Amino acid sequence: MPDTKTRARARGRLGSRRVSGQARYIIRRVYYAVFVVWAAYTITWLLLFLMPSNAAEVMLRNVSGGDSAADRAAVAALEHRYGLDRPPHEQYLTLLFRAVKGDFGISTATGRPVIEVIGQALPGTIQLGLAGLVLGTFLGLGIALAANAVRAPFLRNLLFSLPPLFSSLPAFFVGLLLVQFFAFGLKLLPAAGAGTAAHLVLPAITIAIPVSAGIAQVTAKSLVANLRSPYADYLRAKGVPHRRILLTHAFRNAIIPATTLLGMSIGGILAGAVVVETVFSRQGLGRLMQTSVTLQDIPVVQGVVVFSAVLYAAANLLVDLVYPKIDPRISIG
Amino acid sequence: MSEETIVDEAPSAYPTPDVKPDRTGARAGTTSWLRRARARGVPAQLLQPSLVLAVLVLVVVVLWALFPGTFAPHDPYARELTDKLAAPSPDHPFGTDNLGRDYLSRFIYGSRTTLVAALLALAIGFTVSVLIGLPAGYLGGVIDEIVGRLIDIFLAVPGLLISLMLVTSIGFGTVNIAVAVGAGSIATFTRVLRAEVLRVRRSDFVTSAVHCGVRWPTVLRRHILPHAIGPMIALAALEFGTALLSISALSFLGFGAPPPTPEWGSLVSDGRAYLAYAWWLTTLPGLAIVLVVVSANRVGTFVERIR
Amino acid sequence: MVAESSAGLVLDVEDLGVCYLRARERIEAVRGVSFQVRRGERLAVIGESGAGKSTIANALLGLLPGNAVIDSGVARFGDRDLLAIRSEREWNRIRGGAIAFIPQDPNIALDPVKRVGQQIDETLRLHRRLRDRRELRRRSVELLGQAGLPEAERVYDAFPHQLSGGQRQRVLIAIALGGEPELIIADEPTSGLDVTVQKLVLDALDDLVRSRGLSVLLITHDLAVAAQRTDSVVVLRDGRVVDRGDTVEVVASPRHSYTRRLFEAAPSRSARRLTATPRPAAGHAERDRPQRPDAAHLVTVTGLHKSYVTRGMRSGKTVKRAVREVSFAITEGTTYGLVGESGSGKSTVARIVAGIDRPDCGTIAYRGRDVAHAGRAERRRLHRAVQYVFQNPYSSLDPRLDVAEIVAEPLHGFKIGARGERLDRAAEALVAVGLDTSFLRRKPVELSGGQRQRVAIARAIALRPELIVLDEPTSALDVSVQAQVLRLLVDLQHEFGLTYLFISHDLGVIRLVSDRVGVLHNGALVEEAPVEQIFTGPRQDYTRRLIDAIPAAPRTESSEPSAR
Repeated sequence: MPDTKTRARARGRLGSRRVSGQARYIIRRVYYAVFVVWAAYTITWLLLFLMPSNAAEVMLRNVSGGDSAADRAAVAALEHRYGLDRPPHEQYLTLLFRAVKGDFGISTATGRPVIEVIGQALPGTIQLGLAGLVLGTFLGLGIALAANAVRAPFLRNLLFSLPPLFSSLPAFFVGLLLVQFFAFGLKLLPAAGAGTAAHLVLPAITIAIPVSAGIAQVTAKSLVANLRSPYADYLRAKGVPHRRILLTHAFRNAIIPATTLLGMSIGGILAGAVVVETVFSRQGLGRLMQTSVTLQDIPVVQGVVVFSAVLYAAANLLVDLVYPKIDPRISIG
Repeated sequence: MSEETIVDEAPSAYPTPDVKPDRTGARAGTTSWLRRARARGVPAQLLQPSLVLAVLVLVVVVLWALFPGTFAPHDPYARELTDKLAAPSPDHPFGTDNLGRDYLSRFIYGSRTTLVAALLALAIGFTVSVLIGLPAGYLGGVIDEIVGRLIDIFLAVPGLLISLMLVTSIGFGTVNIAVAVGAGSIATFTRVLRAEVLRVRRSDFVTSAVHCGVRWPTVLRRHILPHAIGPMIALAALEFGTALLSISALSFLGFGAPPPTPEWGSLVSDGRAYLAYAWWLTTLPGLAIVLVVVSANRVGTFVERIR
Repeated sequence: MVAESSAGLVLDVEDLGVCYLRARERIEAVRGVSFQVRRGERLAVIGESGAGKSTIANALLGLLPGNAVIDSGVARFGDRDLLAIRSEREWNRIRGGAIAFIPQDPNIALDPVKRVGQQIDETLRLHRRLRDRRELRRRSVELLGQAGLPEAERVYDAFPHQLSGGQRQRVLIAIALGGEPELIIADEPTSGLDVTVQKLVLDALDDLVRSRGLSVLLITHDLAVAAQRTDSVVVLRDGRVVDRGDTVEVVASPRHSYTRRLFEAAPSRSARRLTATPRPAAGHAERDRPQRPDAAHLVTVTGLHKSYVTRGMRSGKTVKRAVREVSFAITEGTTYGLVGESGSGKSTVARIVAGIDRPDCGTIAYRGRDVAHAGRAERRRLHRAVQYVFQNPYSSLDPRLDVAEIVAEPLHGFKIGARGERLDRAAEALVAVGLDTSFLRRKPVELSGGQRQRVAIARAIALRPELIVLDEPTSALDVSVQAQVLRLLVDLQHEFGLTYLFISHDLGVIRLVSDRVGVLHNGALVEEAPVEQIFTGPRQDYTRRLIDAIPAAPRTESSEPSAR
């Protein structure tokens, strides 16, 4: 086939330039991801360091609550044990070095290594997060497309007002409402716990709603902009039907900002998990965060926060790598 | 740029139905007071029914927060053991809880703690971001570079987790969660503010002013602030809704004021135990929170559009 | 005037009237417009912005916006009336098929994320009912070849951003051909392109029209294009036809005074430098022209280099070399015209000379003193003597200030005079640019483009500067307004003894105001000479191409033989 041959040649010419460009691009993005995680670690450390109370005091406050001389001596002992009496930069470097090796310290509440506690909580949240992400993405894209496809002004305005409404709903309220209706009212789904797919439905919906709000908002706005853009005007003048302009042209373009947002919303999912896992009594990072805050277990809290930065960096790295595929203008760095 | 793009003769062609809510306000079937107000010369864009409603909701809630004693029908702490878990009625519009306390009164008293916390959070976020974002956006260069990077990093960790971390360290309570939520919102705030300042900073008329020898404090006051203030106010209104949500969430998780003191989030959380047979304890306060947040957002989008 | 026989008539528009409804108000856009297009005929619809040109095109394509109402008219195309078509489905069969459209700016008309080939295939799928991929590719590549693209295979697989503006416009022509049209409506098809590219694209279009017997409805504000490329013209003003007829006749002897003024306002190849309007009471120091040979150089630019670094979120660091090794000098009291196409670096030079940006290396000597590397105070002094007029008067005036504040801004900035005195001087400057003092309290939104640019010029002269850098000061304006502003600039120069650095992409405009011309190409100054020398004996091929692109004098009384 001569056609494919010429096409391969054409691609090859562009491709050969792209290889080095792409390699550089990937390396740059990986560097950036590492940088974000390091910076997040440093900033959490700094914030905690600057706070009036330190970990040792908090730990003791949990145990006794007094402020006697004996307590002060105990604090000093603890500070020494955790290295808190050394100069700040030494503390920081030691901790950073340990963190790089995966050692985020010991949970003050349970005495187990932070990394282990997090690892144990992770699967439940991953399950919930993925379900919420997929559901939220489809829901959001669906709302955005529908809002731009319907012609009736009433329906259109209704659909356009859904995203801001969704982002105004407190997750705890949505969760409880769903439980009330589907678990206690209709007795269709379990109210709490984990294990089966049925247990996942309500929490996933709850976590998906804010995600869908963001995606729907960005995509709908972008679709509107694309449908008003000169290229869409030109497509109309070319005789392309509205439906086709929307689905194959405007939607394809609107996916680009939506993808960026998807990478950013990973953090939002983790934040949502704190509330959702509490409401539905599920095991996971969110629940771990909630109990650790309650128990003022600073090492675990810090571990989860740093872990969320790792997740964020990883998700955005993924988005960066997919990006040139969906936006051809980005390909050559 | 060709002149054709400036003239409005050839608007983008397709009849895209109007996305924005009708700016001309009331159409047919408007209530008579709206028509009267318009006749008196109140600008039409202020008289959209949804906006009027939103402002009304906010005014009521602010009044509740200022004078809870005047509006609450009952003592929020008084227990009426004969009237436990009573369903909504004219006497108890939000019903009563397991101790027989009037839930509406508790909600009204809770407005004070919750709104004060949200406003405090807003003030912290706003002040810090103005102090950082304004000079960064205006001066540019290395300072802006650093601020930009910092924003990127802070956005990597969701605001709620930052707030939780701070709460762990500084302890629980209404003021503490307000501070934590305020600190957690600085990054988003600064990002928008900086982008806005940069946009104006790069405009031809600012370049021209600088070239005309106008000193930078004057450029800031005369050209940049007037153009950046609108988006800032709009953002503040939107951010107020977000702060309310975060404050309620932290309160719901149990990090707010200790028990008898009512807060919106903790009210919903208190009702959770009776979800199966006392729906009003979660649903009504929850709906009220949604209404207030939606109203704040409505006002925010309005301010965003009138610039 | 009207066709004797309707045979060979492709489009017959009669009494077209369109208005827009805006805030319960009817705004008439087009009224009582009639014209015909015969087979193989090229008809130009000429008019300035707001004349209703685009409304006519949109009405004929069924693309009027939702608030437009067709009040009257018939548009017979074949056996149907285009204005009576109500169904989108029927329109979609005609648009891109029997009636093809070529849009204004090729750089934004293609879907950025689809390969060019797919976008040509789309037309073939919709209008020629082709499905087979190999067949589609073969036909599309063929069309690209016919549209004058040599590397058709490569273009087929490229994304729009990988092509140049001229290539993109030819892709649009290929798409238009794909539907095998009878009529092509081209809406300012080359106004987004550089002049040298413009010519290539129009040549390609002309060839196709001739070889295929197509009819073209060319909508344009560019009189040169109309004069050279069409058989007949319709001149629109405020939505009404004011003149019409055979192109050669209309150009030679316009019946309507508006047409005459329009043609006179357009800069052409045979135009000469404007001289100041004689004033009865010339109290100011007269500067004799042509320039005195002994006049000193006000500004000397030597070895200018400037690169820009852009950092994208995802695209990383890219260095763009904007200007390299540019040297020239401006004699006091004269105009130095700097001409170049988009991306040639002319604005960069302008900003550096004005002191807005600093060069990477090179010197700018102002009255012999280097200011490129001067300290704060020195630069401030320079700013006082050098003012800048921006290209776009819609963005260079702060919409929140009134005209008095805008014009007095430099006085304010350099702390000149008391408040009342500043107002007086602002009023004076305003009068000097031909606006009366009633404008002092108006806001920019209340002004037209031409008035805004006058305000911007008033701001520039308020300080009584020595040098004014004019960055495409008329490119956002209509031809007739452009002529007025150019005349004003020349008068002001004469009155105040100003020196200009005049930046433009249009060599025709440059010729009207400049004494000496520099030609910038890809960041380098390729040629530099007195204005007449540039036109009579250009040494560079590139300069010659720029000159060729200027319209060949469509002047009324001109007996000069036209160059082509």
